[in-house]
Amino acid sequence: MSESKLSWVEKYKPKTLDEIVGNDAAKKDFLDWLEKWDERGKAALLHGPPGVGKTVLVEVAASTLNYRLIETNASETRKVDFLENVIRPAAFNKSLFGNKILIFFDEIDGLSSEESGAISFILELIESSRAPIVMAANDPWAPSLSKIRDRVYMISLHRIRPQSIIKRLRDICRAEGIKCRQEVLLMIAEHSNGDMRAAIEDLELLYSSREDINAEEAEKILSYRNVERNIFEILRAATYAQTLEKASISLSSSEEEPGDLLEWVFENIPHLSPKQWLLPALRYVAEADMLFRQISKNSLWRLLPSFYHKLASAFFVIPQKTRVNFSFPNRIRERFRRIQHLKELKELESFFIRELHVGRRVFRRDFIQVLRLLSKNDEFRSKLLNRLSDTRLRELYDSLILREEARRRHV
Amino acid sequence: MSISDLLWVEKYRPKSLDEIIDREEIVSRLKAFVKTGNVPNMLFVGPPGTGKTTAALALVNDLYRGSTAGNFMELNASDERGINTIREIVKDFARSRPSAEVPFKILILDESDNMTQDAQQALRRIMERYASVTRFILLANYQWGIIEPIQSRCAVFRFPPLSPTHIREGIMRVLEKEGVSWNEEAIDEIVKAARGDMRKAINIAQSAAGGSKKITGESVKQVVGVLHPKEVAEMISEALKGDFSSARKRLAKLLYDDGLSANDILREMNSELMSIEMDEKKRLQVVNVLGEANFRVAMGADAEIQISTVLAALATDAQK
Repeated sequence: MSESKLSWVEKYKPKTLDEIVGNDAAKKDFLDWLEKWDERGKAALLHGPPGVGKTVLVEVAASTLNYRLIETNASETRKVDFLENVIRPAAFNKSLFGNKILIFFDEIDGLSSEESGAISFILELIESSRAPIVMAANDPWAPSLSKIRDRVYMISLHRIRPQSIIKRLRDICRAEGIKCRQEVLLMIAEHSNGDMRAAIEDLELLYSSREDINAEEAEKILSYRNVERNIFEILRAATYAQTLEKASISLSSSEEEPGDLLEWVFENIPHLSPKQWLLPALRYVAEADMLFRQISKNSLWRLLPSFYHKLASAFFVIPQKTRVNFSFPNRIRERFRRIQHLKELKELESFFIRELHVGRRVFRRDFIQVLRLLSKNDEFRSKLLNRLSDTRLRELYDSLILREEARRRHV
Repeated sequence: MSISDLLWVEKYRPKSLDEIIDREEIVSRLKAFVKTGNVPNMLFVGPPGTGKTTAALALVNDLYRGSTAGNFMELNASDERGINTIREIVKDFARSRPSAEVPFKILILDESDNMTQDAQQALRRIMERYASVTRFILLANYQWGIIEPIQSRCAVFRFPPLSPTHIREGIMRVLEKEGVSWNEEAIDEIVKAARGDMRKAINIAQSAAGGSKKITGESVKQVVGVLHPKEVAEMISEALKGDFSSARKRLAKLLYDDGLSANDILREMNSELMSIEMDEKKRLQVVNVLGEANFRVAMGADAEIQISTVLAALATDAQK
């Protein structure tokens, strides 16, 4: 959830051409083109499945060959004033400071055929630009790209081989100081279907708590991933839907279980919403939550449409959304760790609540902090350790009471 | 081995009704029960730290003259084993015969107002059915959390918050026995923070002493700052500053790392909200949202989702 911390995908983004894994032929092809772009056509289109390194290749090549990169994504490309005011001047700018310019339209297949303004702008630019133009797309055969396709140099990138992905993952684990099992890495690699970004995201998802994890646990967590590609699309659709009904329909088309969909919305609404709309938006989420608990408790599945309506309303009540990358729900990521933590807490408590004649709730509220404070005293600590009969209890006391106190002071 | 001598609350918990110095009225009635050897079903009602458990345990101890084994059981109704398991345990205990030397067994059921209506109905039937062999002492924070038919079958005893004088006397007695010296300011601070809760008062005193032989107003204040869920106050002030995402992280910490119940967090938020400076219109709005959250959590909704609406209300300007 921490916004300030770099995700591993960002942190381990290749900085040199050598660090880009796989697709050696395409890499060479692209660099050759970029060196002789005015002979070989002003525009190139890198195409291939997600997460194979299209964007990274352009970014790294630009910085290696000293290009200033003017980069746009699909939603910026849609805006005509952005194209006119930012892209056009860049394309015709005689570089004042000797900076060469490279124009990059990312996610170009995100344009629909109706957005002909953007497409004709690009076509015109290809004719007249003084700077090389690169585009990237997952699907070069999208109907909207038919005219563009004929005017560009096409470079195809392929899925990354599992061995290459595993090697990269292992490097990251080493850098992060994480112990990981070969079978888990293999599972991630296979699961990623040649998508390096997804593989690294999965790795972070599994190891963010830095604890060892076995193949079985990994599989459970990764099963959330299967539907995740889809969920990003769904959240985006709900965010930009023109009507409440469209937002609601798109949410209900999700393959996520309603409970998990709720988690995705709860996680992302606060990122999406400027402060003044946060309260009404979250209130809808809270209503959806209430409704969902009632639905699942009493098997009122016919009320599910109302649940989707509430969730859609949460998006809809925010008139202007902050642009964000949707995040994986922290609560799902942490679910396993928290269950584990709670289990340990209960184990330790069981000893104390018998002795103190109180329930768990009261113990947590009235005693845990007291024990932490008192344990700062050497005499108290050693006496208590003496009374804790088995090693397991002593371990739990150490991790939940002693080290927690030290950690808090540190923070 | 037991830890009961390490924590003062347990070490100085009165073992016999004779050792309970306040609560004269309750104690004298309980003593009469012991004397006649007949104990009715009872309901002890009052906020935390007012002596409900202590009175119940002391009664049991006096009645059985220390040999409680097999004749007495203590259960917590909010036990995570689930109400069905509790019901089974209660039933099994209630129907077994008491040992030869006592006329009946005693079951203490703590936090019994946390039981659902259905569970309480079942409990009522068990109470009736096995009345000849088992007596119940139900402990609860709220009387109206107990269904009417149970109330009418119980002798009800009310345990109001302890008066400042009683807290003061209790603390000084413990400190004397521990050989810890104090000044007036220290005692004043403890009494202020304890708000009629003896358990809290003694815990504060022990934490402030921290193994030394002296407490002062300063050491007490320091400890109160840590013990009193300061986290809640900080979460509120972050939200008020508009830093929703930090407040949300703190909420997750309270819920999942500290394992606090949503109810305890909400209660703390409520009392905090009443005491801080805030535009009254905004206070009204926040309190409304909080009430809604409280209700929904009680109805089984998700604590983090519901409480975060309160944080959002704090982070937003009042709607005109």
